[in-house]
Amino acid sequence: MNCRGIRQWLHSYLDARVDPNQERMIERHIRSCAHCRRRLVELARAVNLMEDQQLVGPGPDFLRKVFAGLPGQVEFPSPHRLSPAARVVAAWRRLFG
Amino acid sequence: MAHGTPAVGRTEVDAAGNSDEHLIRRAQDGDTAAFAELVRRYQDRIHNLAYRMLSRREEAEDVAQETFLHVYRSMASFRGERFSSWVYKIASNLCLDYLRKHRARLLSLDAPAEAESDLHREIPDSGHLPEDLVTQAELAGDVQRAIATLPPKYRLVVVLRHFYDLSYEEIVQVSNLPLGTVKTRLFRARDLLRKRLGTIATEGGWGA
Repeated sequence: MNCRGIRQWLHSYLDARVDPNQERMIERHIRSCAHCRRRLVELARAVNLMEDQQLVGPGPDFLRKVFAGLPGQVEFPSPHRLSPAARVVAAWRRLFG
Repeated sequence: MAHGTPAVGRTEVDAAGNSDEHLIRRAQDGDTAAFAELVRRYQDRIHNLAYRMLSRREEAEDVAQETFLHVYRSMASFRGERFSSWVYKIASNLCLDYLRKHRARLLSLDAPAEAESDLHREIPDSGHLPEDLVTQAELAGDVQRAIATLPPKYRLVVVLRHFYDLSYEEIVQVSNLPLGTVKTRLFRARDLLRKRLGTIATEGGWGA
């Protein structure tokens, strides 16, 4: 397999979407080809950087804003209104949790 | 896998044993507390998706809000599929619509510059960093700027894959694209990102 052929496989390899035979073929090429090895390392680096990012959440008043924008007059529920079952679970946790 | 980002395939269950699907059924019956719980569960993930797509927090919050309004309005038609796939699908479409409508304006505002300054504010000053060490905040800015350079249709696929840990098949579900297209766009997006992000040197990074 030449370098041109291996490029698409690097992506499948990165996503763990290769079978053992394909994996061996890719790894054999990578061992002998510094160019493709470097390419794989750089792809993995870019992926790792993305996967390391924190979630960027909305402002603290978001839920209230959502409710204010709903059609009609939708009553904003109190933050911790729980169903009867949830109250039982919460009480149980307080006592024995 | 981003910290604290539950995968789309995972169905959350709260202390009372409520899955997303159980909550949406209650919301369909007019239980606004159940709807509020769904918003609480998904607001960070949906806002983050919009932020990654648009690079601007204010616009991201608008689109996230619009997503939940859409969920509320169309929940009667929800059945069968996973709630998470459905809500990601709605948010993705709204982001792509937004980018289509506001492309010129977003370009002129040089959006990604904000990404960096925003994140800088949140990270406490660590005093004496070595000058050659890229800080987390700078990295976060680099990452968001790099994503912003991608065409929106590539951007969506790579964001779903690497910020949400979705499989190819889950991305097919969310994006309504054929599997081959998902792969082509993902691979193309990563080839472009490799050039921008692949050679950044950081402590503990990949030396080459």
